[in-house]
Amino acid sequence: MECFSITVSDSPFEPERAHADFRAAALGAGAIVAFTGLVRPDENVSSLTLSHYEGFTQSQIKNISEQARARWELSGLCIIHRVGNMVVGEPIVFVASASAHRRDAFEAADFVMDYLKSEAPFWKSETRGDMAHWVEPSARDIDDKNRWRS
Amino acid sequence: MATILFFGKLSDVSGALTVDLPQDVRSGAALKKWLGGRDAALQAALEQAGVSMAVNQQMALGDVAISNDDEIAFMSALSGG
Repeated sequence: MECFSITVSDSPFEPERAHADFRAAALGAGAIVAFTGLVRPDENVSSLTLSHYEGFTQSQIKNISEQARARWELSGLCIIHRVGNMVVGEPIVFVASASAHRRDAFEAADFVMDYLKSEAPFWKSETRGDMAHWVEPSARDIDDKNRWRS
Repeated sequence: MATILFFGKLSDVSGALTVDLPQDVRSGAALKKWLGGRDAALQAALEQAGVSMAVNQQMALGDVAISNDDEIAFMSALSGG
């Protein structure tokens, strides 16, 4: 059974629930890798706001998903991304991949995360104290993405 | 009327606009110049590194043709998720 989905939402989600739903939908897979990203407690950051471009953001993430499907043998790929206001510790992203074998599942999830972190159309604003400022991808994020060029 | 959207840092400078494009504003580059001519702060923001453009939700370059039926988005450097 194949299961490919992309969700961009301002509603909080439960990674455990998403994992269970994905496992049920990806029935017959031999391996599932699931990653959850949380809002990191960076120094003085009290909250984070992620904005997106409705429709465009989803279609760009679909491109990333399709690249992963072309590169690895996947029977499922679930991408959930939060937008809106979030506080430290909240789940911000969930990526789960299903395959017959673990290597494809591991690599596909890693690839999708690296692309989401650097190329997906999101705009992140962090609030430290009373000041909000826009954040751009770190050099590390760019290096991580460039690992997949070949 | 064309819809002009701004994302990221650019959204601090301008909200969404609904405008009747002048006859001589028919490319992405011409629109950028026209918007900049109306608002100096927006001009400075549009010239920052990493600003990209989409027309009807497709990535576009300055020579892209635009009309009053289009949705044109100017996007500050992406943050990633």
